[in-house]
Amino acid sequence: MTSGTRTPGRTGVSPEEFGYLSGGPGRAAEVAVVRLLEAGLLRISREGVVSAVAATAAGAATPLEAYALGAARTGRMLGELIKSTATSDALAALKQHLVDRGFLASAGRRKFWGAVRTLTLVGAFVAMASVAVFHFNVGYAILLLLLALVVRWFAGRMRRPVRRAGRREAARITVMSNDRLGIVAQHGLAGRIGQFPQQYYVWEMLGIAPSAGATLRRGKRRTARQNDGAYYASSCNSCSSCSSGCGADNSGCGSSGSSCGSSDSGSSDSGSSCSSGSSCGSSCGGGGGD
Amino acid sequence: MGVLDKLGVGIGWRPEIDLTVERLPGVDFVEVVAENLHVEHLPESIVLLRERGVPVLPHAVSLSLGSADPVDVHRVEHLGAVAEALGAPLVSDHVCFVRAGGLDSGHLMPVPRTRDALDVLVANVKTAQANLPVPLALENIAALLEWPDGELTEGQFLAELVERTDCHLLIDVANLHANARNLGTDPNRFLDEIPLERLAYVHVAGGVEHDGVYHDTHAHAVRPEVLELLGELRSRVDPPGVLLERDDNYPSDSELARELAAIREVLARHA
Repeated sequence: MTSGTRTPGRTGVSPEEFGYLSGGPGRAAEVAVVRLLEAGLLRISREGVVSAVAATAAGAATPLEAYALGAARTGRMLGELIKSTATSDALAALKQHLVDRGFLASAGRRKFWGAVRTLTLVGAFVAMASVAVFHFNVGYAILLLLLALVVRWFAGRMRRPVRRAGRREAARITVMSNDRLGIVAQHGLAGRIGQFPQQYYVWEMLGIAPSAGATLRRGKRRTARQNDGAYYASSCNSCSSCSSGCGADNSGCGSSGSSCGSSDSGSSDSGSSCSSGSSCGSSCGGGGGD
Repeated sequence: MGVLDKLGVGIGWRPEIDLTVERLPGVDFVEVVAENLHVEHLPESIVLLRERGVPVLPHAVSLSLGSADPVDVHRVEHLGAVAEALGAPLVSDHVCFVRAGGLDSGHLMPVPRTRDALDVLVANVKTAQANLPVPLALENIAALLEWPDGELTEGQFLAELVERTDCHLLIDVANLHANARNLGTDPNRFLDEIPLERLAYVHVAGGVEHDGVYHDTHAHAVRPEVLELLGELRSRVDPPGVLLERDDNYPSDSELARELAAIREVLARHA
């Protein structure tokens, strides 16, 4: 895999698409953001504030990168930027492209198989109730129950966001140890790599400061529902001010310092919690300034 | 001034470019916006710079020393606490007001250059100095307007302020250029009139000109005219320090390094 480029010789998916197939939209967004960081088009601060180096989308190789570059123009926390990118129209287009190619399940397909799963539950309940109410044959009821379980299991597999073709495509990709972008796509920023006990986080490999990496802290609960894969939930406080807005009692900005959980599996949710301080700077507009 | 004799060339520390500031070669000192710092929770980057021995100077934007209202002592005390936490040799703010009648202007507003306004400013500066643990330097601003009936030029106004309060001066050459371009002031006369021996350090910043009006954006590259003014100042005095201010639209590390190198080159050429 070459960073930011397709690799038609080996697979037909781009790094962002590989990220999506490996970890959902949040992972694809991570790939876009990391590619921009590696290219010097974005910079990340020690506290995790990501900002565009140039105020244009020049240098963005994909629509997702162009979105991330624009979104970071005013400086955003890493987790927040990834969440925003993961819910962008550009990401939706990337997803649709994967659906069209048969790598991802469409929303309709997932809805259908979700309904089938629900119906199997209803069927199982009816079978059990029939035994009690209508003295239905217990053997038949158990048979129906087992059938419902099998159908439910099958529907669960059919409902998975990544279809067999997508999984196969992703499995064809071998990520080399020096392919930083590929590692992000495969494991995610908050994923762990290396052999025990020398394991480390992917963000560490990228040289991201611990306090910035901490903004990628994963939530303990997998509340994101598996339906659309990873997404980031961020809660950021900013301390911005302008010339006279900050007072002496305006407490500045702390920094988060929590640790990151680990996971390198596919779809999951990630939560980031951070706080940042944006500079007051000085008055700038018009002719005034300091 | 002790340590101020050799501040060198520095850059304004901002959270977005903290790592850049840390790794830029030859950054001799940095300046932080005091209102954005909490004494109990200094940014890791600032702590690291201090550990390296890099002077960190707090720069305030909210004391509003030119206000007719008395100085807010809490703001002064916060500035002093930040200075102590950073081990800073001095602090600074502006010759301006940002509040009046309970309203915040959201901008640095020029003080009328009258003797009455100077009396008010001097009183406020003395109050601030009495509550600060380190010397205070005051900066000339880029004015959006000039109040009518001024009795003193800006240079005379600052000279008298220094004489009556013993404060230091922080001269922003970009603001000098802005005032020259927008208000028609004479930067050379300004430099002739101010007591250069009280110069603490110098600000250099970028801006952009639209329709004949210079905008002191701190978000664009430093213009040659501003560097020329720096050279003019350097030909008169060897400033203890010169600091590049950049508050938005941060360029690449190499671009910032080039701007710092350009400042050094001007200082060397006019030595």
